[in-house]
Amino acid sequence: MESYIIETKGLTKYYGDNPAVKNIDLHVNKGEIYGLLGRNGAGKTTIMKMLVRLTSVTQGTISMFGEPFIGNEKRFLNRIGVMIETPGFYPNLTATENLEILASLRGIIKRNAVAESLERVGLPYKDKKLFSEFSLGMKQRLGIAAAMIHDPEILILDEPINGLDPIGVAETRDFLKELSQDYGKTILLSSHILSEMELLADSIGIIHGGVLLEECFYKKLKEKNAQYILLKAEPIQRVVNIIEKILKIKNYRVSEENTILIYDKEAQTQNIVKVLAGEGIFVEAIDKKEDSLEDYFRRLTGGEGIA
Amino acid sequence: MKMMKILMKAEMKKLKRQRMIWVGYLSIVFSFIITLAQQLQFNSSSVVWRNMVDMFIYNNAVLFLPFSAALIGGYIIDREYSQDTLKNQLVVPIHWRNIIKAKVIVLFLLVIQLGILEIFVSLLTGIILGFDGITPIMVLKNVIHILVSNVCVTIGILPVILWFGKTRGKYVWGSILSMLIGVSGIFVINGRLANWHPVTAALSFTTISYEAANISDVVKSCIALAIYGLLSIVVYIGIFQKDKV
Repeated sequence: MESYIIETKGLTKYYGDNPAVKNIDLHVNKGEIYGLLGRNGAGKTTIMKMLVRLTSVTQGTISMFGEPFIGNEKRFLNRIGVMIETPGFYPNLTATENLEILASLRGIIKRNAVAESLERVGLPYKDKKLFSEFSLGMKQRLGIAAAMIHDPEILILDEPINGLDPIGVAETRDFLKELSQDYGKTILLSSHILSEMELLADSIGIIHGGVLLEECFYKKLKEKNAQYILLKAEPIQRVVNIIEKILKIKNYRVSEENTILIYDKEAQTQNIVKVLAGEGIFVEAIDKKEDSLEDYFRRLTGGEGIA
Repeated sequence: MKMMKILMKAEMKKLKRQRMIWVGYLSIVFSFIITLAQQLQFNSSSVVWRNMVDMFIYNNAVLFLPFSAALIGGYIIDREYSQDTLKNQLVVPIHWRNIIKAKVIVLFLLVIQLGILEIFVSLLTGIILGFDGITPIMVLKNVIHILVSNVCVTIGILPVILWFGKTRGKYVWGSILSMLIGVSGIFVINGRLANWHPVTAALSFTTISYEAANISDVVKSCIALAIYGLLSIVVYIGIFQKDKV
């Protein structure tokens, strides 16, 4: 049986009578970047909070490092770095002072732990700027630095790129990839930004309305994503007849006026053009297409795009 | 024990550049100005230093300290909610109940620090203005009186601080209630309730004017303070003992 570094079974959280998340079976492999993808309010933060005991579990179980996460909070949480929601720090203190407090509470004796974690996120050590004067991006960086100060094996980061400028986003992405690839850290992150998930995540869990709809490796998801031929030609009814009767294609659908999406994997664009031309049909456009993660997300959640 | 030491150190670091502490310092200044004005008004010839310190302790206890201690104490609890810093500590993991314990100890250290400032201000003024009766024994006695008074007043209002500390943003109401409790002390100071009142209980053995003529007053005051201390423990257990999740 495969062992996961984070595994949940039937994880459920109710706030009063309202379910926030239902029956979540999460499987995070060691050393991977796992992206929890969902709209705002989908339940991503609630799952993360339950994973680190910031909120109680109504039902279900959590396993960490292959062991049940009950009564082992101290031992497990020492191996996990967490940033949930907006980073909260003392506004009257500097970044260094804030991290020094956390380092002392964690019992970190490594002398340069604070300097190192600040350096990793691109914040200056011993800078005099107070947290109250920080931009949102700087706060976000400090939140990540705080999560890493004790060199944890797992990083749980809730919307880590929120508020970062494009350069900050790219830097954070590279840095998280480096942590995963070079240092073997497991990173569970949530986001509603699809493009970032595409660039960052090894595995993706799509959550919608408190339910985990799908969980898979991103590569497999890409393979699974439908490839199709987009065809624009007129008159549409005649084109459909030719597709069905001459080309013998059954797996297609008419999307918009004059647009046909052909999902048949055997179908070839050249052949379609040749047959249609032979029948005197003018092909306005034909192209091989692939569903983006956004299309896939939209199809899966049965709604509009994520952002 | 080691953890509590770490928590207390962390709590003290959190107070760096904290403007809220100035409420305590300002309350001492106002309290002292009022006291000095009263003394100079009522004693046209010469002011006896021990009388001034007595009045200072009394004014501070009934007018300023309950409010400022509750405001500071409530704030250092409440800021963990309002500044969303509690989550960083809970995932260490550190229990909220232990953080509260450290905060209460630090609050007592702060009121002792305020007491030291009171001693300094009253002694310096006494020397500069040439007040009568400044002897080493009297100074020592008043040092003890001021410090014990501050600690006892804080014990008296501690249940209020803890009770209002359970809900985000409610600590201001706690400090207003503490202020009212303090002011109500003016009306009971000469009556039977003086030894049972949360603020005036300590005055029977911390001011020379109200110094107990008989031991029963002191015993009553001690029982009252023990009750307020116990009440604080009950509130603490009821609210904070269970793990914050």
